[in-house]
Amino acid sequence: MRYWLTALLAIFIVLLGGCQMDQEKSTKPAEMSVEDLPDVRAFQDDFTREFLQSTKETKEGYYPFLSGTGAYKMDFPAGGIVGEKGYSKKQKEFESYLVGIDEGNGFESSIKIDYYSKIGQTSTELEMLSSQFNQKLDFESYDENNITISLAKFEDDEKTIGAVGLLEHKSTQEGLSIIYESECIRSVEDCKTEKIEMQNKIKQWVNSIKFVKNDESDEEQ
Amino acid sequence: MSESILSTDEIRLRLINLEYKDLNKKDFEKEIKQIYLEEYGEILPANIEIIHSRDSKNSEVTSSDYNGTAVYFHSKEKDINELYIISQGTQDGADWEYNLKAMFAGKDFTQAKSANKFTEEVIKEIDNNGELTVTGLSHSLAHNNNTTAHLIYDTFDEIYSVNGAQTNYYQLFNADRDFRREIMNNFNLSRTNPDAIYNLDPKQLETFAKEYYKDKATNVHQLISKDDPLYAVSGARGFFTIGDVKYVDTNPDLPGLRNLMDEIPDEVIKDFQELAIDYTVASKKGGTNAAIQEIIGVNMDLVNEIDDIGSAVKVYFTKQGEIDAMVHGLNDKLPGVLSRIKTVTGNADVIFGRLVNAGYITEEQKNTLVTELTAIEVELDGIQETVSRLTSIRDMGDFYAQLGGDAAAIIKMKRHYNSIMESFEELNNEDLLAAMEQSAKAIVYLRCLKVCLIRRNHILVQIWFIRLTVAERKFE
Repeated sequence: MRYWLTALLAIFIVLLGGCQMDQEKSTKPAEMSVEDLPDVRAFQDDFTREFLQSTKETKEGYYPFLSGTGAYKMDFPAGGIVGEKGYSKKQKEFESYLVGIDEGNGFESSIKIDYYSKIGQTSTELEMLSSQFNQKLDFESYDENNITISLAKFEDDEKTIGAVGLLEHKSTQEGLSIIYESECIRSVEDCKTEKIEMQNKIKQWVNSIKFVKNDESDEEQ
Repeated sequence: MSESILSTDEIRLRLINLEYKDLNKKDFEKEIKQIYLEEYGEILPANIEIIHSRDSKNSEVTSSDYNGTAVYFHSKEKDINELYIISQGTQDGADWEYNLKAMFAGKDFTQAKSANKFTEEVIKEIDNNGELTVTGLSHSLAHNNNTTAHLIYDTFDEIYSVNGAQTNYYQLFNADRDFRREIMNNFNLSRTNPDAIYNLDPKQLETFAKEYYKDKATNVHQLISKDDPLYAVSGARGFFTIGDVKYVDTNPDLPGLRNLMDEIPDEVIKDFQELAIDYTVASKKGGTNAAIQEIIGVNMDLVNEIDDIGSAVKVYFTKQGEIDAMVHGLNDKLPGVLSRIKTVTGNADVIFGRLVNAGYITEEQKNTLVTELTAIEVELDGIQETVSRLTSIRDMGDFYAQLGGDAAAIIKMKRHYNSIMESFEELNNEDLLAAMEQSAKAIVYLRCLKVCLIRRNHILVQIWFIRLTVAERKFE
């Protein structure tokens, strides 16, 4: 009998503990005290912390990020910070910023992300992205999470690589452009093999972007 | 192709001016024909098609704040095939908000994008396989729109502008990837710091930007009045002037505002820019009180609820959280703002003294300005002192002491705030306003600095700016 009581008590304790953990999880990182936050750049920076939704990783080295417009989510790199001085937002229509990342794998990166609640025609938008590059871009197009993604890899020199992308929501007019560029800070020799891995990492990151309004029936007011 | 159909400054200026009249297509066409006849003494030798950006098929163009009109001149016999895009300058509050973000803070570039999209759309629409020349015509903000679009997207063959808001290298850093990359490489910036550009020397950046865009600059032609307020601020960090520029001294009796502005130390301009950046960052949540709270840390909604000790206690009990937040906010933010205000009062003699010497304002008006600015500084000092005392009372951990301390502090702050508002009343004095309006438009920018800082009402900023634009449109 006493055994059962103890077991019951144990279950209660586990359940209560579970509840507490849930509560912790639901506290926004911006409201947590600094010592409880993960010791990574993204959380150390006050401005960046505001966008992060939880201290629980979405996958290794990434945390959940919600844009200032609330329009899209993505995985945010632990070594990244959002540039506060260059950050710009116009109501729910436009948001633009630069992210600086210490990738922790011998690469230093920047990502430029521009969101528009109404994006233009695909061909015009791709032309406008291309005109910011001295080289020809070959866009490859595919679908992911109700988004049409047009992505082009580029290589500036032996050490600098990256990708340009246009993401268009399939059922609303929303869209965003991203320019992700990474500089290998090791020797040219080391960089050779690392570059391929970095390109894969970039592509995987692009695929983590999801619009909050997932289809037309969602949040139509 | 022979000489273009709009070959003189005069006719181009008259067309730019037409854009502000909000004419329908028929009247627009009629006016153009009339102007052509007056300028050249002959009938326009081409057909005209007019397309307004508000009629664009692309909803992202119609929903943006960009406004422009495309005028297409064509004639097969005469071999005329010319498209003119007249982008509109600053028109309303939304534009001035954009001005702050785009021109001073250098962060928004959506109107430049819209200018390019609209132009591309029109080119497709009038598709005629001929050799089309595309010319941008612009005044004020439109020069920033047209030229920024041109530098990034190669939108135009030629650009003609009058009294333009100049291009901004911070804005192009955000909007043009190749330029951004070249800056990072040239100045050895680490990609890990997204705000590194703001620490670079403005003069070096200006030289670099001019050199980087020098090829495209050859197609930009500007006409600038030395008395134009946008010219006066064009020496501020961020701005770089490109193209062949014809300067006109429209008011030879006065030395021109630019010289005066140039004497204001870069530190002051930098503070202004920081304020513009703070302001735009803060106003992202909408609402001016929120923006003011973000900048100085005073929750205006809260303070306005308080009249006496009774309401102070009521607010205290019902709005605990907000008061807590305000005390912390004030503690964090006030010292920064105060030091910026001190930069301005500390340089008051340079700024206002030069305006007196140049005959823009009288000695007496200068004294009023300096007195009131100093008074504002004293009040802000008072607020800061109250806040720091408050934080020490709060640190004692005694609830009643805290209650008493907070309530007293709120009333004190309210008193300081009222004094600040009195100073503003003083500054709003009719004579002073009139003197400033007719003589020293540059001072509007200085006033804006104060207004952005403390004034509750964002609209005031806009009114000032709008007054400024109205004063500008004198080239009829």
